[in-house]
Amino acid sequence: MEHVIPPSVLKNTFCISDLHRRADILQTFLEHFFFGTTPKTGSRAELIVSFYAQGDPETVQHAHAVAAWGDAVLDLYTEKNVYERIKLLKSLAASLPKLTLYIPVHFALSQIERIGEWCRAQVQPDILLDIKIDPEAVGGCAFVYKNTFHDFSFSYFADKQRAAILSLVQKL
Amino acid sequence: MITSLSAATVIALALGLVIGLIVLLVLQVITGMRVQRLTQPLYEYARSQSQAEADHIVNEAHEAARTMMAQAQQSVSALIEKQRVDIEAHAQTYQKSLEELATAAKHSMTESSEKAHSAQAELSISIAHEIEAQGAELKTRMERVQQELDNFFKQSQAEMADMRRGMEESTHTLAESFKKAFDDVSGKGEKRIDERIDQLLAAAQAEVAEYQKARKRLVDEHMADLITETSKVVLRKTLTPDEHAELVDNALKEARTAGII
Repeated sequence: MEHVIPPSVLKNTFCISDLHRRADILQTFLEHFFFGTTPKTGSRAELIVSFYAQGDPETVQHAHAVAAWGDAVLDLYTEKNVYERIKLLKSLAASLPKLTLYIPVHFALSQIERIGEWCRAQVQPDILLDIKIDPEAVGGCAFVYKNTFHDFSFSYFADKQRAAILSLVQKL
Repeated sequence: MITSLSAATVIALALGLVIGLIVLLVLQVITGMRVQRLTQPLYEYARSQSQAEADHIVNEAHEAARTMMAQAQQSVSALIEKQRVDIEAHAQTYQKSLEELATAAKHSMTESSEKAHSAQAELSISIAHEIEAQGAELKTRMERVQQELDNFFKQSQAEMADMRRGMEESTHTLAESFKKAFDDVSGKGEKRIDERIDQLLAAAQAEVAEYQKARKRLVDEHMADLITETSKVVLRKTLTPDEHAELVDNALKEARTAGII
């Protein structure tokens, strides 16, 4: 059993919460696949998409993302190791470099993907985001990287322009 | 055998016993009377003998007592007589001494009286002379003292007039010099006070200006904070998720530019 997250998983998964959500979706599908009445013939990637076809849009998007991991990854799960592998997948997320990102509102998957791609291109290739919602981070974001907190919200930019704001106030 | 005795026999025996007892009693009484009659003289004799002996003893005791009383009376009478003689002798001696003493005292008092009268007369004359002499001297002294007092009073009045004149002159001089000194000091003091007031006023004005400046800076800072907070509220309510995401991208790029990530 490999102790690394498969590259196809990391390729379309950029934050820890999405990885956990997708692992749960995969586990539910596999339980039905191994122990239920779900058809056992054909590609598991196609089967999982069809399995969640009637779900809410976000679940469907996650199901597609899991399908994109490919049968090479999905076929590694058997009825004997499904729980062990799911647990391993979740635990391996903790071993990757992490950027805790504070954003003011909930972002769509596409927006998270865009941010994640930028981070992997500019910061670290295998970095995972730990997204947290904080309204105080409006006008930008705040983040913790390498155990240090940085505030790049509106407060930061306002402080940078403090003199201009004060000048404006004095003119009032 | 008894049981065979008849009732008559028993009655006869009982009667016999009763009669026998009666006889015995009568005999007892008779015998007692005879014994009493025989012993009565002896008893009377013994009783009279005892009485006589007792009377004899009592008489002897009375005789002895009378003898002792007579002896005691004689002794007491002799003692009283002796004491009376002694007392009379002492009384005579005491009377004699008293008479001698009274005589001596009378003589002595006569002499003392004569001496005292003579001494008193002499003393009165002497005192009169002395008083007369002392009075004259006292009068002389009093006149002298009065003269001295008059001289002292006149001299004091003259000295007091001199002193008053001197004090008036000194006071006038002192007042003049004090007035002059006060005028000098007053002029300088006024000038110094004006300068001090000017300094204090300038310092107060500077402090007020500094305070106003600090307060204005504080108010401006507060207003800037308010603007920032208000802007954040406005941004939170007006921006779309895409715009938020774009701002996040920009922020990350800023952090990257700053070399933080």
